[in-house]
Amino acid sequence: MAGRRINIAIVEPSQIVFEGLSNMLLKSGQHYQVYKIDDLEEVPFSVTENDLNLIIVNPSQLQNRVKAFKIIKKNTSAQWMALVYSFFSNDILSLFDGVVRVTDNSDEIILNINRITGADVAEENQQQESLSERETEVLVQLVNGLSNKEIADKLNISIHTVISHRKNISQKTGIKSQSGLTIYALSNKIISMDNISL
Amino acid sequence: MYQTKKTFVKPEMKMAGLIFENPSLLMLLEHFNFDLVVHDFTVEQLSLQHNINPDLFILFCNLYNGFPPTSLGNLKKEDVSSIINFLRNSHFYYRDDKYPEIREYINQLYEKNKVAEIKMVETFFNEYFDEVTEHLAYEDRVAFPEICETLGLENSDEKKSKYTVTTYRDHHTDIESKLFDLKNLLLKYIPINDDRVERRKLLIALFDLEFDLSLHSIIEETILIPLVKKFEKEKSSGR
Repeated sequence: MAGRRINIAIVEPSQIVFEGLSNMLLKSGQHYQVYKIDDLEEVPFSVTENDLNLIIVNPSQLQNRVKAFKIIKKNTSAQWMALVYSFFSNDILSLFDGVVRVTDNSDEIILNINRITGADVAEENQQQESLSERETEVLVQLVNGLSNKEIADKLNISIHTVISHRKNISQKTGIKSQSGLTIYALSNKIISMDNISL
Repeated sequence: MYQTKKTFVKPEMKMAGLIFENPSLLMLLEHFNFDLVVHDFTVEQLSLQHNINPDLFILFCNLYNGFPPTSLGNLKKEDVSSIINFLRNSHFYYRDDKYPEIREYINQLYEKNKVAEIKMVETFFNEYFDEVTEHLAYEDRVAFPEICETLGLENSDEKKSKYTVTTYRDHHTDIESKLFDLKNLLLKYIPINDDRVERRKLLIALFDLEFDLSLHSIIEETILIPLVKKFEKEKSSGR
């Protein structure tokens, strides 16, 4: 799929705030899936079940439970953001990886989420689309039906390099199969009809 | 796919209302072999009327509404039969409905835009669909009958084999990534030539197929396989 999916859980007692934030996230056009969690204690179950990447928590959930929070946080690989619409001390907020403020606009929130979850890195990689000269050479050989070993010998590079070029080709074009890549090469005039047999 | 609102389905909700919100539920009814005229029935009434466990039906409705299953609740052994029938019916839809439709659109596209790429798309799609057909046939002829036999359900074949569900999972290959290649080629790379309408029809049909296929594998991997494993375990521990 285009863009990695980010699974987000929101731990927020207020229905209005939850709906508002969840709607904003779902309408952002980003590949987000949103889950509602009623209580901090339920987070560990949901993390494994839904493969959560990010948990947005109202810090009031931490009241008298800072210790429990630290343990839960330590045991999850997900990132944590505080959802702030009243006053919380910096001691509390510094326990989180980031902050969503009720005064933030949608762009700011998404930028923050993507930065914290690392989604922006994946996106940048995807944007860089045109193949390098070497990748194009590998593609041509690939389309001609040569194996990794044969390509390595022909271009005088190691098999590992061939494999890494192939990985980059698929990442940049979004196409994995050999027949798909043949059509791609033809459409992009990297090869001509004379080079292939139908 | 055409879903405008994400509703978490509950037993007392009216089926018709849910379909207005998410027409792909029509596909679900078809796979369950229900009539499409749902009158004023609630989800629960409708499933009971067709002898389907409401828990199972609601689990599937929610899946179509975009909520992947989080627990299998108290599904029973008999529900495995319903799931298998559902999957068999979807096989019919892929093979006898979607496949000819997509082939027809590829032909129409080629009529408008006679380039080699589109001929190759046809070959590509045929190869892809051969793989799909092979997988579906394996499920119909081998995996499903054997699951039924293992669990002592009706609908079983005669032959005996040392079958466990793990064999099935090993065989269960991912048949979706090639579809993604196809959509990518049509959307990004193959030059357009007065073929907008035909291309749109083809793309939408591919999206339809992909949507249903993706739910199909979620059902197999997160509902059917764990369920069969659970009952296999119960059986071998003599319960």
